[in-house]
Amino acid sequence: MRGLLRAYTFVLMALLYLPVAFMIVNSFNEDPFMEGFRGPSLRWFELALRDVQAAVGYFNSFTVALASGLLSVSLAFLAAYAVGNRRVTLFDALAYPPIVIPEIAEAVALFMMFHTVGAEMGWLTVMIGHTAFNVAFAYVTLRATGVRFENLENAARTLGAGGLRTFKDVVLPLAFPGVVVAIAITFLLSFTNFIKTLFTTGPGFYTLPLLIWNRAKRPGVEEFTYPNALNALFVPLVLISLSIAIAYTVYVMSKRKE
Amino acid sequence: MRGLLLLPFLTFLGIFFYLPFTLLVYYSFTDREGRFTFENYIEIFRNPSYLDTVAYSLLVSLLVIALTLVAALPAAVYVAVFANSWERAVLLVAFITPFWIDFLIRAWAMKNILYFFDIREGFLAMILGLVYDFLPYMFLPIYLALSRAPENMISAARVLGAGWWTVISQVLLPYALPGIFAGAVLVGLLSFAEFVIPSLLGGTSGFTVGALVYTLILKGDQWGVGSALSVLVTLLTLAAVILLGRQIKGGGA
Repeated sequence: MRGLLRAYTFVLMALLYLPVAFMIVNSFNEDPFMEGFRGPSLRWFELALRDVQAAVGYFNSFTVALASGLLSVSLAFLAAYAVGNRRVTLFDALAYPPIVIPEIAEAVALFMMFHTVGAEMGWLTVMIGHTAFNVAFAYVTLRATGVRFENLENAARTLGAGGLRTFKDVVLPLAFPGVVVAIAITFLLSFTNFIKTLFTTGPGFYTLPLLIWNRAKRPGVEEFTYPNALNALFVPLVLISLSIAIAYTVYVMSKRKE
Repeated sequence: MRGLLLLPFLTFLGIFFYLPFTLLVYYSFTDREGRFTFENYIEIFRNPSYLDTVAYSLLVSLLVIALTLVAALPAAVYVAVFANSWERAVLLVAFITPFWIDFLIRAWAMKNILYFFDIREGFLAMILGLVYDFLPYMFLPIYLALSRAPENMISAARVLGAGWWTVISQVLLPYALPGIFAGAVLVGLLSFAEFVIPSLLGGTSGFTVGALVYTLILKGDQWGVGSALSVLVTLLTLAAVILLGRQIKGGGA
């Protein structure tokens, strides 16, 4: 029984990563389509290097994600610091809904508000849309990894450190790894976000996932829209996603154990 | 001082989360001329094409719940009950990691493997895509529920002479049940509102509630019904989360 379950579990785990493996292999596929492997080739990565639209998409995704990560973690840090180790049920109840409500409903609601006030849709509206989710997510992460260290803070105070000094020399160094992890995960969620971006962007502004989506809708119309050309654009996104996601999971799990 | 630090966070959420949802509710009760109406909600249940889409999405959700349950349960049992601590850590990270990867990426990755086996856009491809994407949401609650069971519970039952069937039905299942329930609710809601996988993998079978909302808002300029559907999905989700929260507290964590 145990052996059977064990074998099944590891097979299932392998299956979870098999699609990504196929994607990576296909990005090196000489053939433009995903049906079969014709032989190894770097043509899709060479094409990607000449792909001006993709470069713009990457750049836009990057600036939006960086701004959203920094903004959401700053806001969440202040809130988590103020809340400290207390249980603040009402405040938490206000902070959690953005995480649990289906993304498409949030996206529709933002779309309607931006249109109602006549906002110019583009970089800023996309960044704000991502941050509306990220800020709640960063808050939950920082609550889990901890931003208050009451015993050490009290010790520093007793030894004569002022409020600012305590914050700078005690709180910040201890909270720093958690802050970095929170910035990394909110950066990732924004960098690869698709649905929110689709509803909050305007004419002329696109991120990488949006560009890939539009190309995926007309496969093979031109060289850039060949399925395996899209695979080559996805591969860096997948590698960034996997590394940040694994680092985040390992770090938060180790914190929960303490 | 402390209250002041909360202010930026609350202001941001207020303007860019709670205000948009208030507006969403407003539009769902308003007609094109801005008058109050229940029409948008009535329309969902009166117009056969909307009703069919809702019924079809429910069916898809139920199927995805059943398949993710069958796939995730044995693995959750293994990780929670049998795995040694090193295996458990590795497997948990492996099963949680896909949580953080965007649906578009996972759906496209899935397309690679489906095409290799000559499975084209359609019902089967969509269902496989949904099961693949929502598996962690079924696995994790069951794992958490089972990990509350006392250690060595199974060896104890075995020593006392229980056969495997008795162990499964009398020992494992009662512990797993709250997790199965939570996983089913999560997976059901997510598949119900999902939009990327049906439209990328579903082909002509991909017209689910998520795709309907997308079409109504971005293609059809039908804010009334579109916002009413979004409000319903949101309310269902909140109700489920509150219910699950109660249940978890009641379960004595």
